Formats: sequence, structure tokens, C-alpha cells
Amino acid sequence: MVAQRPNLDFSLTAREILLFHGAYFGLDSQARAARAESLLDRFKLRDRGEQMVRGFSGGMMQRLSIARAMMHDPQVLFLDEPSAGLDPQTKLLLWEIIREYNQTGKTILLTTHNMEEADALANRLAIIDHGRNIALGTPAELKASVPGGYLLRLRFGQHSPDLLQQLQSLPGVREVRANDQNGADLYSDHGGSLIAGIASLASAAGVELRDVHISEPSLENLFLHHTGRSLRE
Amino acid sequence: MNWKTFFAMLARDVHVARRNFVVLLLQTFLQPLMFVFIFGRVMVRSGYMPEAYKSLLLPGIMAISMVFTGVWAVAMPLIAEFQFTREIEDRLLAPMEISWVAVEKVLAGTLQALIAGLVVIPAAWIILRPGVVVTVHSPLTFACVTSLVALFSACGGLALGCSVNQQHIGLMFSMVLTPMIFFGCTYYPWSALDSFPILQKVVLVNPLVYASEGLRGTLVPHPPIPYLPLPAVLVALTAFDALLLAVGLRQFWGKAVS
Repeated sequence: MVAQRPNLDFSLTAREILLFHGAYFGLDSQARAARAESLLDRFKLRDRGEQMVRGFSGGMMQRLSIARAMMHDPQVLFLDEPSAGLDPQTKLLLWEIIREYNQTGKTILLTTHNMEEADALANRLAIIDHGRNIALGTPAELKASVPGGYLLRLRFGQHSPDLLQQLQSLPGVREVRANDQNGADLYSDHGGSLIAGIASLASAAGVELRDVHISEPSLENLFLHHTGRSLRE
Repeated sequence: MNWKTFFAMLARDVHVARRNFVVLLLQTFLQPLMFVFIFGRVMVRSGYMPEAYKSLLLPGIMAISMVFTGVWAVAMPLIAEFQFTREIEDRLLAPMEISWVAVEKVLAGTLQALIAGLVVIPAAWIILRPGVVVTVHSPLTFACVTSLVALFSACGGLALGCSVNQQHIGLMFSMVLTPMIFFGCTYYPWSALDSFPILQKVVLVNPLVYASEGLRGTLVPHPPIPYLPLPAVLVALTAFDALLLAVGLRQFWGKAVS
């Protein structure tokens, strides 16, 4: 189990953390030493093995936390936001190690706010909003479940029900939702090619089109579609 | 019960204590031994204190060193490890019941307090001699009293460590440990409070009184003034050990499962 915040034993060196963790889980001393060595190597911490972890950077602590959790080779590994706050290089290394571990037949339960991470790593994905499961499936299934796949977030001077109705009739548009007085979310089969049509409908209705944001099919669109809110709201 | 895990955790605590040995040594012994030197040597030789005071002081200093060591060894790591870093989680998640993690801490603290007690006797004796009389007439009684005192210090450390926040450590020393030491009959025997009858009764709620008097009773067989009877000391120390352990385990559980 790896918590979101590193909870390493600050009284020990990196290698000792792995060795004692192995001992807590009943590994004999030879197996502990060999496993610690290979994990330090795999997580690129070999030259830091004899250092106290107090002085480690956030990325190093995170790597060591995951190495520690793998020390006793658990069948199920819980990872809470494993790549939060990591530099891209470390994040890619972690993803690679997580995939490898999964390929050895182990289950990994990973919680994340990062949709890219969920998309990249998960075989099966549940989206939880305020404790409620709002979608469950493979990333591909979930992305396909968004009407059309593309999301155009539009901002007008002020829209009207008539305008929204007309937008609905544009080719490829699957669903139009009013956000507030000025905004509308438009789900469609394609993205940029719709803009000209939207702009001309708006100008015919005497409404100014102020902003358009196009998202390709993504899990974030799925979240927006189900909750009506972006991830940061 | 998973003894492999238990002993692995004990090995971890021994390893950490060994690494911090010099710091622990200075932390534990410097102050009591300076006290021994000033009160037992300087004050006695200059005639302000009688020669017999040396023998009364040594068991008290032993009690202080043991209690300080045990409390420090258990409470300080717990306070730190239960803070935002939650360092203790790796042990709480190990394949062993949560309460046994606390029991292991108590055992590690007890061992450290025992070592402190046994080291301070020769150290203080060297500073105080000549004129200090220390004899172990009944090794069994001595072993019982010393073990109960060591256990009391570790259980006290557990109860305090799980009840005090990091920002209140200073308060723990000034409000709990310092009054305990000064009113714990460490620097004087309980019978010296004869002229303060109310205080003499009130201090009986302080477990350190029984620790000091118990050690005095086993180390100084014929003291110039009487001390608390040994059976009472043994009963009181056992009761305090059990009470503090129960409170400590409850507090530990509350902190660990939150």
C-alpha cells in the first residue's frame, strides 16, 4: 500500500527501509537483501541506498515508497496518486514499473485525479464523484460512451434557447447543454470543422461568440459529461 | 500472534537506538550525573550535606535516569511518527495486530530504561565514592523492582506519546515530568516529608515515588531513615504499570485507527 504522502521511516536509510519492511513481512535475510538490491536498482536509487531518507526529494521518496510496497511482492498493490507532483521523467519510470508489476500477474488498485494516468495505466476504470460511481469500464469503452467523443465548450455574450436548439441541428452534433447564462457544452463527432457553423448561427441570432475550447475524446470529457463540472471545480 | 514481525520491529528499534547511542547517552545521563556531582560530591564534601546523603541520592538518580530514558524512548518517536509524516504506518500495516506494535514499543522502551538504570549505578558510584554504600542483598527483589520501574517508564511513555501533540512536548516536560521528578522522592526519601504531612500523602499519586523508594529499599538495605515498605512499592508499581499500559494501548489504538 502506498499512501499519497510519503510515510517513510525517517530513522533509517533507504536500503534499511526495504530490509526492515521485508523483515516485517517475514522474508528471510537472504531474500530481503536480494530483493532490496533489485528494487533499488529498478527504481534508480542504488547510489542513494546508504543515505538517510530525511534528505530525499519528493520524487525519490515516492519511488522508495513504491519500492517498499513491492518488497514483499503483494498480490494486490494499492497506489494513491503515485505520480502526484513528480517530474515527467520520474512519472514515466513509475508508469513503466507499474505496468511491469501488473504484467507479472499482480493486481494494482490505483486512485488518481490525473485522467492521463488513468487512461495510460488502467485496464478497468471507475470514475468516482463525491463517493458515487458514475462510470465503470475500460478506458476505451468509457471514452466511447461520451456522445460523439469531441467536446466544444462555447462561451457567448448571452445565449438563448433558440440558439441552442439551432446548434443541436448542426451536422455531427449529438448533444448541447447550457452551462449558465453564457456557456454551452456541445458534444459532437468532430471538432474544429463545426466552428464556422457555430459562428454563423451565433451571428444570425445576434449573439457574440467569445470563446471556443475543443477537447478531443478523453476521460475528462466523460467526467464533464456525467457531472457537468470540470475536474478542478 | 506473528512473532517474526514483532521481533523484526524490535530489531528495528534496537538498530535505531544503537545509531543514536551517543546522543541518547548525553541526553539521558549528563544532567543526572551533574546533579550527582554537585549534590553528592561538592555539597557533601563542603559539609552542606551529610555523608549518608550519597547513598540516598544514588537510587533516586537511577529512578530519574530510567524514567527519563523509558519515556523519551517511547514517547518521542511516537509523537513524531504519528504526526503528519505518519511514519509509523509501515508498521501499522505489517501483518500483526495493531496493539502489538504498541507492546513492541513498550518492550523496546523497557529494555532501554533497564540499560540506563544499570549503567547509571556504576557511573554515579564512581562520581560519589568514597562513602557511598550500595548493596544488592536480594537480587530477585532488585530485579523485580528494576523491571517494574523500567516497565512503568515505557508504559508512561506510551500513554504520554499517544496523548501529546508535537507542539506540546515542552509542556509535557514542564507540566508532567519535572513535577514528577521533584515530587517523586528522587532527591530525598519519602520519610523526609514527615514535616509536610499533606504533601507526603499527595505525592503518593506519583508513581515515581514508588520507583525511587523501591530502588532505595533494594539498594540501600540499612538506610539512616526509613523508606516505603517494599510490598507496598511492588503492588503500587504493578498497578501503575497495568493502568498506564491500558491507557496507553487505548490511546494508541485511537491514534492508529483514525
